[in-house]
This record gives sequence, structure tokens and C-alpha cells, in this order.
Amino acid sequence: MEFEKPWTEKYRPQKLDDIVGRDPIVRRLKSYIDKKSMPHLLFAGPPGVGKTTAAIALAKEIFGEYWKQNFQETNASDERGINVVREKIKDFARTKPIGGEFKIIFLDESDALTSDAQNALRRTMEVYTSTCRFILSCNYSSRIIDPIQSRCAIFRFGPLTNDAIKIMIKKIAHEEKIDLKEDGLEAIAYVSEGDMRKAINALQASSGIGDSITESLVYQVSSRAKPEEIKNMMKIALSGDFISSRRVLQSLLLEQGLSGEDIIMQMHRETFNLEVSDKEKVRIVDMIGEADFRLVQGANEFIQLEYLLANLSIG
Amino acid sequence: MLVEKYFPKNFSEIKGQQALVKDILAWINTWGSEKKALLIYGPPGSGKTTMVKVLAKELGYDLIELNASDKRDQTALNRIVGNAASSKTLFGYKKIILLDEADNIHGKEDFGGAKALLEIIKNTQNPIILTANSYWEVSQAIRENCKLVQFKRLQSRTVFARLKEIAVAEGINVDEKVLLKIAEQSGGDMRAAINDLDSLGKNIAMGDEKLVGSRDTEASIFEALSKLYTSNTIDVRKEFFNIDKKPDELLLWIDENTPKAYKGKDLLNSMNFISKSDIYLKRALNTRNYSMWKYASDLMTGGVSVAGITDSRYIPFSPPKYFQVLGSSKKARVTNNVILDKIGKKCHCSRKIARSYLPMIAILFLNPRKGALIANFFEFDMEEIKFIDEKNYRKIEHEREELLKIPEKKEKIKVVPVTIDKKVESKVEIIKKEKESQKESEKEEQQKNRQKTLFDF
Ligand SMILES: Nc1ncnc2c1ncn2[C@@H]1O[C@H](COP(=O)(O)OP(=O)(O)O)[C@@H](O)[C@H]1O
Ligand SMILES: Nc1ncnc2c1ncn2[C@@H]1O[C@H](COP(=O)(O)OP(=O)(O)O)[C@@H](O)[C@H]1O
Ligand SMILES: [Mg+2]
Ligand SMILES: [Mg+2]
Repeated sequence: MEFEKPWTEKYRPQKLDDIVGRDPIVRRLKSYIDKKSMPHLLFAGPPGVGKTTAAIALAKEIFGEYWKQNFQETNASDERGINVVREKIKDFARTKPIGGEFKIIFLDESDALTSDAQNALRRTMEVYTSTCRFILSCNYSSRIIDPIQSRCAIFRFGPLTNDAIKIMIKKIAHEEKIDLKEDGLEAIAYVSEGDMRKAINALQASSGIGDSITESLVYQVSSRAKPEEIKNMMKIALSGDFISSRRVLQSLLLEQGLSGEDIIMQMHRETFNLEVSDKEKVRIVDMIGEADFRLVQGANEFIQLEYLLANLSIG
Repeated sequence: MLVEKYFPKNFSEIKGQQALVKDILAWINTWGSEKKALLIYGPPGSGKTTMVKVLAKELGYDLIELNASDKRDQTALNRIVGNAASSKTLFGYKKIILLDEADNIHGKEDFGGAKALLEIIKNTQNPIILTANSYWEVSQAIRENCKLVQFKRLQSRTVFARLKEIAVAEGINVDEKVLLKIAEQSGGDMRAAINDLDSLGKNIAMGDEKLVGSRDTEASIFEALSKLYTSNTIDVRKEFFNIDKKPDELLLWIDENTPKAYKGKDLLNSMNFISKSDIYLKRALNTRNYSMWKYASDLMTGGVSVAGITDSRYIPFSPPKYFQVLGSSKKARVTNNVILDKIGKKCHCSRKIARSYLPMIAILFLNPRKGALIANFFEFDMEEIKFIDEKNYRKIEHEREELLKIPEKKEKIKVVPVTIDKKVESKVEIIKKEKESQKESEKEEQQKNRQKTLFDF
């Protein structure tokens, strides 16, 4: 069956050397290949910066043709609880490594595990430590319990620089024979905020509707509201018109398909561009912070953001 | 009000729960040798409170009542019930203490209410009766110190019999068939059925029962919402017990309509409760501890009721916006998760991050060819494509079929790098196709030959 991959997969670097903007990390990882041994690793950083890519590339270079047999990827946030994770690990760890000394278990988004679950994980790590190395990835290393941190070499993946993003985007545009305008490239770097996945998806989405990639096209598709839209919604709310601001929110979230996280992040940014006193800005930031917190804890993004708008218009 | 007028005066007027009277009498007659409280649990309008009142009256007890709207934290319990519970019977006046709707006495929410209650049950000088709608909503520690009596949901014919008695006594002009319908619609709630009868007046025509509606339909949720906004009591939560909606859906209904009923601070306070309910729903989901639902339900109903009030008699209620309900309906959620899992598997990420691929995919779907190609990669089925793009899914499906017809060219496969499994699969496909087209041409050859033979000879 003929198909087309999303470009994040089509252009995912297969070798450590192809990963852009991560030189110090790549150098450290390559030393493990030379030595043919490695400790447990902890990759910390925001989404889309190369954590999974680095783990897979490392496995490929260590194990060569047998990498698939010796590498297992599990996502802690989706699997149904720590017991499923442990069973999966156990099943995989039971058999001997092929053509090497150890296997690698990559546990993505480990900070989604509760601390009880992490303690259970730690015991599992100990049981299989002679045959398995763990690579844990997380958004925040502070959410990983100390005993696990102390058993791992820690690698910090910060957001990628605009330059790194641009290098990759230009390369893909070239391969795909896309007419990428300079302002389009700038816009992609801007909306991506150091997240390569976002950048590549923005490029692919733009190319889906336009022949040449311009700034306005990028904003149109990047599943980001135009900054004015967000600012406008906040202004309406601040004027006391809760009902109308709620309608704008509905359109952003439910019709345009933005994520609550994006909206709240942009609201925070736009706060500083509002024509209100500094005292008022501080108050708004406080309300946004509370809403962000509830957004993480709650089930329905619309309801949580709606409460923020109620605060802006009435509070 | 007919419910009050026809409040049962003795045990025999309490319909459908006769068998339980024996158990309750046995409990009270032996009370003292063992100090267990009595827990009566069962659906609303089945006669729980009625039973306790009749019991007190028939046996000549004073009834000390603490109902749901009273504050029931530790101090309050100790002050009111504790006093009554410890004071010995004077001059032959005996007391029963009734804690109605005990299912909302919780450890945390009532600030030690549950713990205080446990102490009181163990040390009381007077029998205590608790009522609750659900067994599970009473903490285990308390249940263990109670004798349990379950009130069953009343049967339609039991409700019907009572309605008929009332209709005859009131001289209401009504066909029996209508009474039966009302009884059926009530879902075993005697209070609801009598109230429905009451609201239809003295002359009831066939079909009038539709005016009061089934207790499980939208009519009843509008009615409940109307009570929620026009009253100012946590008791209003009971109005929602009979409404057959899961709390997450109910929350959407309340969320949709609250801004229509309240303004200003009332609205803000309500939105706060709505937001908190949502957080409890998420906790229930995460921990699979669905007893958390009760906090969500209490806050979204009772909380919002207490947060504000409206005197507007006409509120233009509406169901929650279609897409929100869609997102929360079970089937949609399953499809959504299947889609996210398929993306997550191919793109090495969690559902949460997989979501960020959807806008891009949706844009590619605008072009049927591109849409078909990307859908093929993720192995979406038609249902899933439709979920992402309700308008274009047919075109995409059509394009996929077209793609299948075109014999694949080998260069094309080289252009798109594929995973190992994929490659094998595609190769198998090609080989199959090649074989098929070979057969086709063989057939054609044969046919041609045959034609030749036919015509030539
Ligand atoms: N440093 C990088 N160099 C090149 N591509 C990258 C880099 N980081 C991320 N990407 C691209 O972004 C996508 C997501 O990266 P991934 O490593 O899965 O992110 P995460 O850090 O969330 O695990 C990959 O498919 C890859 O195409
Ligand atoms: N089993 C019953 N038999 C007769 N009337 C009943 C019965 N159950 C409820 N009722 C009527 O419904 C009203 C409410 O009943 P109540 O005992 O308060 O219900 P609950 O079980 O919710 O405590 C009573 O006033 C009474 O008129
Ligand atoms: Mg990852
Ligand atoms: Mg009652």
C-alpha cells in the first residue's frame, strides 16, 4: 500500500551524528558506543527536542542489526499503570541479549509515574541491572525520585535554538522541493519555541495548503492562534463581557483545535502587551498561573479556561 | 401538596417495604445490648425518611432530626446529636436520632464529621438511624457499626396502587392507563410520581402524562436545572440522583447553562465549583476511584445552587454544545484514543503528544490524495478518518481505493523510506499484485486465443 509518512518520522535522524544542535550530548553518548558499555541514563527536557531520537539512535549504533531485538520502548503515561509497565519490562528482560552484553529499555515520560510507581520501578531496575540498561525520559527531572536519579547519568535536553530548528527545516524543505520563504522560516522557528516536532509539523501542514511557505501561511496552520486573537479574547473578558469571551474560547479550542496548554501559554505572553496597569498585570498572571495548575489537574480544558475567563471578567 | 397530605400515617401505608418493618423493629427492640446504628439505604422516594418518622410515631419516640442542609461538622454533630445521644431518658421520653442523607457526611468535607459520628454511634444512649441513597457513599468504618437495611426501588405497580388511592380520595378524573404511565415514568420514585400527579390537576386527559415526562429524559434535566438555579440549597443535588447522565456529561449541562442563570460574583463562584468538579472527575478517572464522583456531583449541583440565585422564571436552557458532548461520549472517546494510539505507535510518543499531530493530519485530509497517503501510513480505518474529517472522508476513502488499483511502481517505494515491517508488507503486496496482473494477462491471452479459434473456424 502506498503511503506518505509524517515528516517527523521520515526525517528522524537515524544516527547520533545527524541529530542537530545537541553536540555535547551526542559526544557523551558516543563514548558509550566506543566502550560498549553504559550506565542507566536519564534524559530530561521538554517535548520534541530529541530525547526519543537520541535513545533510538544510540540503540541502533550500539546493537547494529540486532537493535530491534535488544531495544524496547514503553510509554509510561499511556500504559495502564505500573504493573503493566513492570510486566512488559519483565517479559523483555527475561531473554538474553543478542550479540551483546545488555539490552536497553527506554521508558518514555517516566515522570508520568507516581512516586510509588517509581519506587516499584526502581526495584525492577535493580532486579534486571545485570542484563538491562534503562533510559528514562522525562520532562522534569525534579519529578523523578532521588534514588532513581542517583542511579542514572543525567542528560539535560534544553529547548533547541532557533538556528538548530532552521537547519533542519531548511534541509527538509530542500528534500521536499518546497518553496520556503525567509519570513516563513522565521515564523516556523518562532511558533516552534524550540520544539522540533512542532516546527516540522508546521512545515508539513503549511505545505499541505500552500505552494510557497510564507509567514501568514505558517500562522494559519500552526495550530496557534494569531497573537491578536488571544489578546482580543482577553480584552473582551477584561471588559466584563464573559459570555462573548467564552464564545471566542469555544472557537479557538473546539473549532480551531488549539490545545489548552497553547492557549494558556499565549495568554501569559500577551498579558505583557495589554494596556493595563502593572498591578493589574500581576493580578492577571496570578490568575493564569492558577488556571494552568487546574488545567493540568482537570479533565476538561474548556471548563478550566472558561473559569479563567470568568476570573478575568468578574474577579 | 399531595406528598405531604398523603404522608403515610402508619406502617401499613408504607407500600412495598412491608417485609423490612420486621427487621427494623427487631433492631430497635434489641438495641442497647449491642449499640449498632441502623443504616437504611435505597433510592430517593422509596420511603426511607417516611419509615423512620412512622417508626418514631408508632413506638412513641421523640425524633431528633438532622438533615442534609444542616451543618454537620464535628462540633455541630457533637453539640446536637452528642447531647441527645448522651442524655439519659427522662420521665420515659425516649429518643431516636435521625441523620438523614448521611451519605454526605465525609471525613474531609465535614471536617471530622465522619470520625465524630463514629464516636457518637459507639457511645450513644439513644438509637441512631442513618439514611443514604447508596451503600457505597457511607464510609466503611461507619457501615461496620451499622445494621444494614436496604430499601428496594419501588415497583411500578406499587407506585400505581398508591396513585390510584390518592386519585380516588382526591376525586381526580383520570384514566388508570395514565396513572400507570406516570408510575412507570417515575422509575420507582414515589415522591416523584405523586408530584407528577399533583402537577397535572383535577382533570387529566390521555397523553397528559407526557407533559411531566419521563424522569430520565431531557425534560427532567431541565426541571432539575431550573431547581438548581432558583433555589439556594445543597439539597438540590438530590434532584439529580434520578437523572441518567454520567457526571462528566452532567457537568457539561451545568457548565452550558450557568452563565444564562447567574451574573457577577454568583457566576464566578459557580464557575469555581464547576472547575473543581472537573478536577475531581479527573482524579476519579486517574485513580479509578470512582467514589470521587460524589464530590464532583455535590459541587456541580449543590455547590452551584448555593453559589447564586436567580429569580428569572424563564431561563433558555440548552443542551451542551454538540462537539463537547461528542468529545465526552464513550464511543467518541474510544475512537479518539484509538487514533491517538495509532499515531503514538508510529511516532514514538504518548497520546498527549500524538494529539499535536491532528491539526497537521486534518490539513492533509483537505487534499484527498495527500489525505489518503497519510491515512495509509497510520492505518486509519474509515470510521477514524471520518472522526477527523467528517466532510472529506468519502473522498479520502475513494482515493485510497484508487491507490490500491494503481499497480505500484518500485521507484516509488524507494522514495519513501519505510520501516522494516512495512517493507516486507509492501513487497508481499507487490508480489501479489504482480501475480494477479500476470494471471489477468494470461486470461486475456487465453480469451484472445479462444476468440481466435471461434472466429477463425
Ligand atoms: N535535535 C534534533 N535534530 C533533528 N531532529 C530532531 C531533533 N529533535 C527532534 N527532532 C525531530 O522531532 C521529532 C520528535 O523528536 P523526539 O526525539 O521524538 O522528541 P522527544 O524529545 O519528545 O522525545 C523527531 O521525529 C525528529 O524528527
Ligand atoms: N413506600 C412508600 N409508600 C407510600 N408513600 C411513599 C413511599 N415512599 C415514599 N412515599 C411518599 O414519598 C414521599 C417521600 O418519601 P421519603 O420517605 O422522604 O423518601 P426517601 O426514601 O427519599 O427518604 C413521602 O412523603 C410519601 O408521601
Ligand atoms: Mg519522546
Ligand atoms: Mg429522605
